[in-house]
Amino acid sequence: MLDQQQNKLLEAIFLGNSLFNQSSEHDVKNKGLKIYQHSLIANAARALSITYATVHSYIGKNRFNTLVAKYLKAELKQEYDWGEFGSTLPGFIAKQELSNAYLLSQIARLDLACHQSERSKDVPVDLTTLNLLGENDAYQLYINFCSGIDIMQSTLPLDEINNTITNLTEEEQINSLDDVTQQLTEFTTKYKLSDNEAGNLYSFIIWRPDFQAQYSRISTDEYLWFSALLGKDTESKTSIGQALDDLNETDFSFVEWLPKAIQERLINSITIQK
Amino acid sequence: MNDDLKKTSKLPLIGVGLRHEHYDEALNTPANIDFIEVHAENFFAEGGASHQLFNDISQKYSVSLHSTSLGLGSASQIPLKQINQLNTLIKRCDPILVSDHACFSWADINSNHIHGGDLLPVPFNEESLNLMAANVLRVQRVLGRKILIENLSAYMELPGSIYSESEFLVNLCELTQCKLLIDLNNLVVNATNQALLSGTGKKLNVVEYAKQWLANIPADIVGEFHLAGCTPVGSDSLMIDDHSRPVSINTWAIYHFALTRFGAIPTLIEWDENLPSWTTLLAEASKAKDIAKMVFGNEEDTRFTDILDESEYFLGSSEDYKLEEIQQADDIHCMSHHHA
Repeated sequence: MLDQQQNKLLEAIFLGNSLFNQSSEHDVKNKGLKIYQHSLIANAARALSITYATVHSYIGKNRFNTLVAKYLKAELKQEYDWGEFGSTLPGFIAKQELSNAYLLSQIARLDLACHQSERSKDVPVDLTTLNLLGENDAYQLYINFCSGIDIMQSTLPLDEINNTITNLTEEEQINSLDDVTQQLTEFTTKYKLSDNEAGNLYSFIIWRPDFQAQYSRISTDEYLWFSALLGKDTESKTSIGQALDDLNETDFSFVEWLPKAIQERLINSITIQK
Repeated sequence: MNDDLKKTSKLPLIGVGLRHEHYDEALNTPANIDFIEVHAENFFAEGGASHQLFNDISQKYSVSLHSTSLGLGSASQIPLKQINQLNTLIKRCDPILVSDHACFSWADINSNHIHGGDLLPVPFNEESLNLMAANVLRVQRVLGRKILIENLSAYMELPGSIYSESEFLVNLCELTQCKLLIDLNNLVVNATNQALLSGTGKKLNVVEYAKQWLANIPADIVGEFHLAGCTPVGSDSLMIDDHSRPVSINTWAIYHFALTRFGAIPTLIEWDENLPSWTTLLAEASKAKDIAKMVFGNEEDTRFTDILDESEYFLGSSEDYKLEEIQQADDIHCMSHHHA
């Protein structure tokens, strides 16, 4: 009895339905229900505007809230922590009849990766272990990357898109949401054509040296390198030696990559497993 | 809850709820408060800035850990992972208080375990009572400590209640040995909304309603008070507990009564929307301390009008917040001193 009552109430809140017939007697009950329905959308929009801050800034509060209201009906919230809610929003955006939906879904993927990076477990730093690199067999050495490291690929140059919007906004060439939409539409048109021709994939690394996540475009070889070391495909980390073997037919250079990685604080320590 | 919290001082511990906008000032400026309350879920991340902030706050302040998501009245099971995450925070900060609400949040829709993200009301009957008691006992067993349960602001009445809210909560405490976190503004909100929700249209005297509600509660099961203010509404609208304003004169009056009845109970000022400056928030906490001094000190000649600025109870207030209520509050104060 109680479980049915609760299931029914929660379903009405998520789907925006009325629980009671339209009558003056039930009017106040539906008013109460509406408070919970509005509260759900407001809380979800607030949480998702943090997770998807760039998407929120590109489409504005009103369109974002409308998107969230639709999303809540389609993807019922299973997470108790609002900070974890909404990981399927990028895929949902891609399916919407929204200007530049595909492009926004890719921006959302990057937003999500940054958000998850910022919430990830802190990894201890011990740079003295870099000495192990010169003294040991590379097949026994593993890189422990900094907190929140992740990699992703997209058919769009997301860094270029975000940097362009930021720069044009700072130069006051973008002054409204319509200007942002117009700029995004130009990117959509441009990269739709080039994708059809070349099928390009752009690779990115996301990491947080301190608390704020960063992202940067990397080469396909670097993407494969990180993928191997992080065990993206194998579900277990790969040794430096094995990862280098995997990339031996590419142009990847460990000697060139290492100082850059140390400078960008990508590496927290090296461990040896004999 | 630490039973000594009431006894260590003649005055209650007074704290404020910490919100994102105040993080920097809370950490870097002196604050004459006894504790900080944090919402547990804001610190569930495994690492990063919020993780570090939680450590820093725990170093500087005594912490009250307020959970908002367990949904202790849910018929659908609360995930153990969720309780364990709360437990991890408890181990990290050794809080003076741990609390959640007398509500449900979890339910099943199309075989999916769904969290409503809100504090949803339950009917006050045997089935809900037994279920909530079982959930509270389970949570207390996992946490290895007693928790406080907060009364809700509810915007609809679910059918099937056989108890009043206060009876239900007293029974819950008897069954689980938990204690109550009484949100005094929630009493004001529920009293205000009662005319509409009950369908009678009969407007209640909110102070009298709250006093009667509190009179049903045994003194030894109260562990904390919450104080807040919210936006006044007209008679055809439901009042929403938006925590957007200073504590109202009615709630201060009820607080005075509650201190008189229950003793020096730890008290928290909550403010979530239209956030004021950190200084203004601390000033609200100072008012709570001043009212406690009226009750427990030798300041029986102090009146509410000495503590509260005139501008606060007139500015932007509805017809409900007028001089007669300030006088009523002062009358309560004088009466309680005569009865003491």
